[in-house]
Amino acid sequence: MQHHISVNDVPHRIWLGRSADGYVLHAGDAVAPVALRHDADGQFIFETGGRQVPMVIAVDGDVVHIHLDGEAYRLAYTDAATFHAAAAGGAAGDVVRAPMPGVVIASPVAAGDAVAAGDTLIVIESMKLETAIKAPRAGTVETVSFTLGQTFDRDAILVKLVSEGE
Amino acid sequence: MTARPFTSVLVANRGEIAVRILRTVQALGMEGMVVYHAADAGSPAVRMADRAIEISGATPVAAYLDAAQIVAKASAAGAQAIHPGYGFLSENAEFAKAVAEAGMVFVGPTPEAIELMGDKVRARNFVEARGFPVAPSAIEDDDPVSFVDRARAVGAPLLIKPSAGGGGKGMRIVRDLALLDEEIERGRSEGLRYFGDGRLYAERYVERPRHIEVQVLGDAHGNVVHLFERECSIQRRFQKVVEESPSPGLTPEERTQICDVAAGIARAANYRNAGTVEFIYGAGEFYFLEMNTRLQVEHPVTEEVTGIDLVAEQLRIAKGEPLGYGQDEICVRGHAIEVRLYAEDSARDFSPTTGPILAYRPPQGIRVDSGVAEGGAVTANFDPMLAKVIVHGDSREQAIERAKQALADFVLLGCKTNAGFLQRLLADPDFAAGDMHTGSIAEKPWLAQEPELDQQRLIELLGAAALLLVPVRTAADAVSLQHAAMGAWRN
Repeated sequence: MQHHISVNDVPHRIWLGRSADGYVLHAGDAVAPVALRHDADGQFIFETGGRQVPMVIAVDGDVVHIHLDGEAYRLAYTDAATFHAAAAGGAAGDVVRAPMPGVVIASPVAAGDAVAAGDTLIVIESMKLETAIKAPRAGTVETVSFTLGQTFDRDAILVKLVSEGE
Repeated sequence: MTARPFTSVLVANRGEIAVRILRTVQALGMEGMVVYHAADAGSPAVRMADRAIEISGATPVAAYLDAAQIVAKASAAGAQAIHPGYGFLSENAEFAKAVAEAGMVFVGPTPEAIELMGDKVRARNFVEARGFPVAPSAIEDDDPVSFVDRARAVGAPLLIKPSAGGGGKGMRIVRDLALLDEEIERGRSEGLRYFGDGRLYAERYVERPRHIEVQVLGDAHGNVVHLFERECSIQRRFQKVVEESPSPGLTPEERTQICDVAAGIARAANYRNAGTVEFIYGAGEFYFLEMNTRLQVEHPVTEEVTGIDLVAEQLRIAKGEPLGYGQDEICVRGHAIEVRLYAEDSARDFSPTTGPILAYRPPQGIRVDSGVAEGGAVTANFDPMLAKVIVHGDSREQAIERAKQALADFVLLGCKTNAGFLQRLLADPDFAAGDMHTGSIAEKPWLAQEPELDQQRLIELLGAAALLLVPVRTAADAVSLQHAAMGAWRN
């Protein structure tokens, strides 16, 4: 079966198969024998086609962080259902996400409030700059996830609007 | 000036600078204390300190800015001196006064010096009145009627700024004086819009400016020396990213001149403790920009080339000891470079990133000033600087090579950093040639972009991840070998 793995946020489709003497990676048009040897704490040796590539790896659930040749990479596994929902656009107009990590400095709306497209839903501060987060469409506020002074990470859902889908 | 001995120092700061100060305090045999907010409970500074004192606040930043609470808790803990580090309360004259009034020694300049240099217009006028170079300028408030004429007399290129301004808002560059009236009108309207104040001032604009600063030390006995210059022209969003000493852009004559001016300004201000005089330099001319009355983030490059521990000097000066050496005894050896490792995504306009620190292995044999550790996390609570990598070499070329190698060897996994960007920057031919100015990063947007990965690198990354991701491995193992052999044909 196919899997979706993003490398630094760029999606890739892969498939891992087996051969008599190990595993085979199918990625795009490429097919390569792959093996991974645990060397020491966090240190790995990756092998493909007789080449040995040292890496430092940390696994955090469905995310694999790899330090290779002076660079750090983030590889994230996405299950098929999430991948297709995101690709189809999903309920994008219903949630307002944080464009960057920051702290809430003003929260002018509350659950139940009616808002027009372009109304300020929440004001955040990041990098010493204030950013007003605006409503993507007219609607009713369902929830405001953070209160004044709270911090959040990038992509956190800041405000949800009541869905008009159904 | 009487001696003011102390044997314990409380650091009113956090992160890498708290660790840096504690290192010298403890090496000198003194007791090192630190204040901390609960968000920093497991931090290296707290683990390293002989005593750590919890402070609280509406937000973590507010706790570190709470002068009254910090003075009260430091006093109750028996601290005899307070080192403010940089940022937070370090340039707060009221804090310096409160520390002294509570019977403790403030490791920094006098409140008067902080006040003088903290007000940019006062500082500029002070420096100009004593005959040191400031950018030719016209201040509207001095005589509003003649402002346009006086601005025209300064000559192009001109920079028009709102008097009440900051952060680059409402600033306009005028290269053609025929447009002066129109630009003044626009600047005034922007000043009104951003700051509710339309007053302006105009000063000579330096094209492709370099940021040069000079480290100074003054003791309580009137002795002042400089510790030569640092170049900090590599900046993004008005924040420094790479600093070095000596500057590759100055001739020996210019170096002598700029360092002497800095020492002269410090002497005129009766300056005590460590300070930095900042200049704008371009086309063979330099102008006073401002003076920072504290230890700077980039102080380690000066330590590396002079061999002088600046924190140790700050502590000695605070105790009332004389410097004990003259200008002639300070010399520069080799070349030092500091690069700042930030939690940020250069490809997303250098916006900050957050995440857990899953693996942390700094390069061996290299000075790394850091306030983070494996098992910690980078949050949006504080400044995104994670660590400073400081290298020294016999030559600038050697220092650049060492910095590149140190960055490549630095393992930090879990939170995106600017390490890749820094490596591309250090490999840039203009940087290697020392040809840079404060707008260099903005002029080279390709440095901020991550290069596309080639097929071989993708296979290495995807292969390793596939073997470690449970759902991928499980799916592979669930297929019998016979089916696996023809697996590529299945969906």
